[in-house]
Amino acid sequence: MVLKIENVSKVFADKRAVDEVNAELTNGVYGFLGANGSGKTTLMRMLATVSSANSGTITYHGEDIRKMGDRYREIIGYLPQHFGYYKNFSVEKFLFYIASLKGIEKTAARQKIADLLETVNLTDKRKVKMGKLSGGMKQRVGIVQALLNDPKILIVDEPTAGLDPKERIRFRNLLAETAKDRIVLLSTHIVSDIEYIAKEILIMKDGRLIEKDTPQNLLERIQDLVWSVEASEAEIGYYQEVFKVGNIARKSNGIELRILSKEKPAGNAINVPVNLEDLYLYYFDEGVGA
Amino acid sequence: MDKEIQEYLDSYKVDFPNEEEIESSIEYIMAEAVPKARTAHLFQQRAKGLIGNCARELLRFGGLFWGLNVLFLLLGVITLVTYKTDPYLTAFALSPLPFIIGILEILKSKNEGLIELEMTLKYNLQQIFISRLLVVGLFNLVVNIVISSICVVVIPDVIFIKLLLSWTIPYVVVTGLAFLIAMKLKGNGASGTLLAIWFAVCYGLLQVNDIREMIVELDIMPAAGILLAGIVLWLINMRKLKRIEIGREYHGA
Repeated sequence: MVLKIENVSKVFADKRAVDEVNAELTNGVYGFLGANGSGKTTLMRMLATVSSANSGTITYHGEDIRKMGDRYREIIGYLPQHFGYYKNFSVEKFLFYIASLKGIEKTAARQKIADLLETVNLTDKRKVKMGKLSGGMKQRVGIVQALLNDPKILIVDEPTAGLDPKERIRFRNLLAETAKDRIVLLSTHIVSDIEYIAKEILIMKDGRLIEKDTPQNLLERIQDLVWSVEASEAEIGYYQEVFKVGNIARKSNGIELRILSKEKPAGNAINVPVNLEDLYLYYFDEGVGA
Repeated sequence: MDKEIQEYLDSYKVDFPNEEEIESSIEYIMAEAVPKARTAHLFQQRAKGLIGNCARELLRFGGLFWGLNVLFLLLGVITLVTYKTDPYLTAFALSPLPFIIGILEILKSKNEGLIELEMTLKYNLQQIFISRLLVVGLFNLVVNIVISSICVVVIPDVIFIKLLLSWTIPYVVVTGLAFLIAMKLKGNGASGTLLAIWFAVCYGLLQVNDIREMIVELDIMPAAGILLAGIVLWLINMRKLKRIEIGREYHGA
C-alpha cells in the first residue's frame, strides 16, 4: 500500500501554501508537524480530495487519486479540522447517515457503529443529539465516522485541538490501535500527539516539507544541542534574547532553563536528552537567536 | 463427383488455430467487449446509487420542510375553494414554494459545516446535492400536479393548458434563479429570505392589472422563451454543481 506525493504544489491568490512536496507513505502513522499556516491542512485536504494540487500528482498504488474518484474516496477516512455535523441528528442517526454515504450496507453499518462506539466509549450516548455532546465526544464521533468504512488511508487534521489531556491520550491510543493495517496521516502542532505513535514525522514549514524521518533519527540530529541551565530570575531575559529557550521551570532551588544551542550556553550548562518539543523549537522558533 | 465436392470443400478448410492465436483472439475480444459490459454495469451502479441516495435524503428531510409544505398546500386549496381565487394566479404563486422551502434541505450540508467531510465520501457532495435537488424537484412537481387537479375538479371552466403554463414557468424559472442565489448566500437563511422575496414579488406583481393579465393570458411562444431561459439557469446551476467534483474547493459552488 503506497501513497505517493510527487512535486505537489498548491497556490492561493497571494500565497504558495504547499510548495513542491514529495513523500512516499506506507502503512503506519505519519505525523505532519508544523506551525499554523505551514501548509499541513492544505496538504491534508489535497490528500482527502477536498482540494486539488496546482501541480504535481498524488497517486495510490501508482494511480492518480483524481482519476480514481469514488474508488479512492471509498478507501479513505477523513476527519477535518473543523468537523461539522447535523446537530439535530442523534449520534447513531448521524453515523448511519455517513455510513450510507460511504456505501455501507445497513446491517454491516449497524454492527460497525456498535463496535466503534464501544471502542470510543460512547455506546451510552448513541441516542444523544450531536448538538448536546461535549467537544471531546464530538471528536470521538468524528473518528468513528472516519473509521466506519475500515479505511486504508485515515486522514485526521488537528484531531486533538480542544481536547483535555485525558481525551488526548485516549484519542492518541485509539489512532495507534487502528494504524496497524493502514496509512494514518495525522496533522498537528502538538508534539505529544505524535511523540509515541508516529512511524515518521514530516516537518512542514512555509509550505515545504523540510524533514521526513523517524522520531529517533530526527532527535539524534539535535542531540548535542539541548542544554539545561540553572539561572537566576535576572538572567532569564539575557538567555531568552541570546538563545532559543524552551521550558522555564521554577524549582525550589532556583530556575532551570532548557536551551537549544550549538555551543555550551553557560559554564554550568549540562547536555540533556532531547525530546520532540526541542525538535519543534529547533525548527519553528525563529524569533530567537542561537 | 464426390471427389470434386471434397476438393471444393477443402478449399474452404480453416486450420484449427494454435494456443497462442486463441489466446490473442480472446484478449482482443475481451478488450473490445469488456468496456461495453463495464459501461452498462457502471450505468446500473450509478442509477442504483442515485435512487438509494434520493431515498436516504427523502427520509432525512426535517419536519419543517414537510410542515411548511402542508401549510402552503392547505392555504392554496382553501383560497381556491373558499375564496374562489383566480386558479391561474394561485398556481403561479404557489408553484415554486416547495422548492424554495426545500432549499433549506438541499443546502443543509453547507449550513451545518459538513461540506468538507461530504466531499470525501463515496457518494460525495455533488451526488448528495443532486439527489436532494431531484427529491425536492419531484416533490414540487407532484404538489403542482395535485393543485392543478384540484383546480380542474373544483373549477370546471378552467383551461388546462393555461393552468399548466401558469405554474410551469415559475416552477422552472423561479426555482432556477432561487437555487442560483441560494448557493451564493451565506448563512442558513437562504430559504426564508427567498420565501420573503417571492411573496413580496407576487404581492407586487399581482397588484398590477396588466401583469396579472399577462400571466393569465401568456401565449405559448413567449412562454416557451421564458421556459428556455429557466432551462439555461438550471444548466448554469448544474455546471456549478459539477465544479464541486473531486479536487475543487467549494466556495458557494
